[in-house]
Amino acid sequence: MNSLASNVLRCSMRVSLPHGKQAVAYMSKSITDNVSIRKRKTISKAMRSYIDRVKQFEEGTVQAKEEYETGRRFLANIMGEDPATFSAEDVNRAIEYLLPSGLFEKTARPEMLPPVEYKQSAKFDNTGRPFHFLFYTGFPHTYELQHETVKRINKADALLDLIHKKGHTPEKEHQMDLVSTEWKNKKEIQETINECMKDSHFERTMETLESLARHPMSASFSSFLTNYRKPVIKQVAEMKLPSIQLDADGRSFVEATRRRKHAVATVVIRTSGTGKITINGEHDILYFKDVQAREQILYPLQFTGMLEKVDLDITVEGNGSSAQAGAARYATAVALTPLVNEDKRNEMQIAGLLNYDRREAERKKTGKRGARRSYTWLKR
Amino acid sequence: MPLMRLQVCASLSTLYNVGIHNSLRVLLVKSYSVYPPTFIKPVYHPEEIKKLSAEEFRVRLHKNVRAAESNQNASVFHDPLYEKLVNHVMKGGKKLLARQIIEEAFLKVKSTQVRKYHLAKDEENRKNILTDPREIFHKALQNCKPVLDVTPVKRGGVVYKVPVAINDRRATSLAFKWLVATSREHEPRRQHTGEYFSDRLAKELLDASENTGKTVKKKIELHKLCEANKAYAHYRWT
Repeated sequence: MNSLASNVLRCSMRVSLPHGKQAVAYMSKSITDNVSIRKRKTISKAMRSYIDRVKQFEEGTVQAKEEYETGRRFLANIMGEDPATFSAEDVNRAIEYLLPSGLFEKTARPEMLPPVEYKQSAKFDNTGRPFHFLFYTGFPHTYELQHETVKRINKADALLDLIHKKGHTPEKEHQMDLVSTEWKNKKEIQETINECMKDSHFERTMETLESLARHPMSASFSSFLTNYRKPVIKQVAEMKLPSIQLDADGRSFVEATRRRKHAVATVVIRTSGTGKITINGEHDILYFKDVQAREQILYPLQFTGMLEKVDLDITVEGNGSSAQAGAARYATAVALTPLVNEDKRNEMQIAGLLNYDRREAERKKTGKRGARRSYTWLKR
Repeated sequence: MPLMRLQVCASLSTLYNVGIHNSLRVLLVKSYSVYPPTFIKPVYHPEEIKKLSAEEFRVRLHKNVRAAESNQNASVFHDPLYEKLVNHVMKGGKKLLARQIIEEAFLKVKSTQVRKYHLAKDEENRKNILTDPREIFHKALQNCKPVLDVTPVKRGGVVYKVPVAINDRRATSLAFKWLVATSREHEPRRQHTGEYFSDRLAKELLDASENTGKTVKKKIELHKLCEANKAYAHYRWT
């Protein structure tokens, strides 16, 4: 057990080493080979130290790989599984099982990760001359993206001028559809261009991209823009509808359970009914004393036009009347979704019937009377 | 404060669109809503949804929507202004009581108008008498809405009252405030007068619907103040 733990620790330490150093990230195996084959006399000092560092790193990676491989097989043997098919996921699972940790902080828990390999090629040739024309800006890909965007904005302007010269106005098809996609976030953009960005750089880049996307002639550049956009998830389309079931009498019903604050409501909707509403078995809608709560119960029925076509059986508990009515409304709306057509479902989504109301009472803060209000000020 | 207004459109994409500088963004007030700024408000009434264009409908469908609130519904009797009145009358979160009081006031308005209707002798007079309390309420509110307001502006150590044009939202808010305040004026002396809040609200609504009464007087006084201070109007922008 001790040897395993030390192995695990050594592995993770070695692996985490290259993370910290940015210079290390620029090298690869191929370039070091090239450099060592063609030995030039005119090699600069900086280049030499770079080659040395690459070599050092490569050796380190090889060693880390070996150690990881040993650890992996060792773990597979302990777990009584086949070492040949023991994957990185299995390793994580084994570590979690063998070295259980109650530590809250995830990074403080024991882990064994495979060594990271950098696929990015070196950014300069063996004389030390960088390939990228913007290399010395420190953020070549970010600035390149901005340049490319502005180039396209200028092209789009020219296209617009052409249209204006002909005496036409740009049509809707000339602009790219921005509804079904949205901008990638910073992390995703960084992955796309393969470079770390400063916050300010990111914002500037996004502003530039946005102005291209909003350009009336942006459709011509949609293939460029889609690299930096991702599809929007339509919530209704993704939603899992509750199934329509049949009871003993052969009458179909739909059941759904939803919450609001701490109230939980289970609603059973029976089709071909007369509009009968039962709450907690014995009450009708007068279970709620306030009119607002009653209106809430009827809201999804009125909205879908099912008011006197279905029977409602509501079981609700917890919290006050408003929260109970809210939970029942939400559950009713969800239970109605398989009974109405897609257009109506879309309308329900827009009306906010199919969404959980996440608002809750704000917690009390220390030094305050409640969530926000201060205590009365006393001189002493 | 134009900056304060910007918090409404604090979502990142809108900010890119507006092109706000980074240093300005620090000044924006942090929103305390549990919903992220990407969430849009729902269009909760079927009639309102019908009014949406196909394009707008599609845009809304691709966005995260907040859940409809507990005073919003699809009833034919639903009236957002009525719900607003309930919120203005409510004290200490007792909405049930506030609704009850308003219903009482509306009932009193109704009975007064029906009596008036039956006392009227000829058909022509009867036609002019409104008997729907909700209609009267809307008319009263419309009559209480001011067009101008004064804001204090400091120039050379002197605070001037500068008249400014106000938007509909602010006007409605002021009208509600005044309606409720005038009805509450003599609340502590209820034992002597025997009048309840609902009585005075009913009276105030009836008066305001005919462009008379204390609330309308308040509005006219404000307009007079604006008229008196119109020489300072340019301080708004100079």
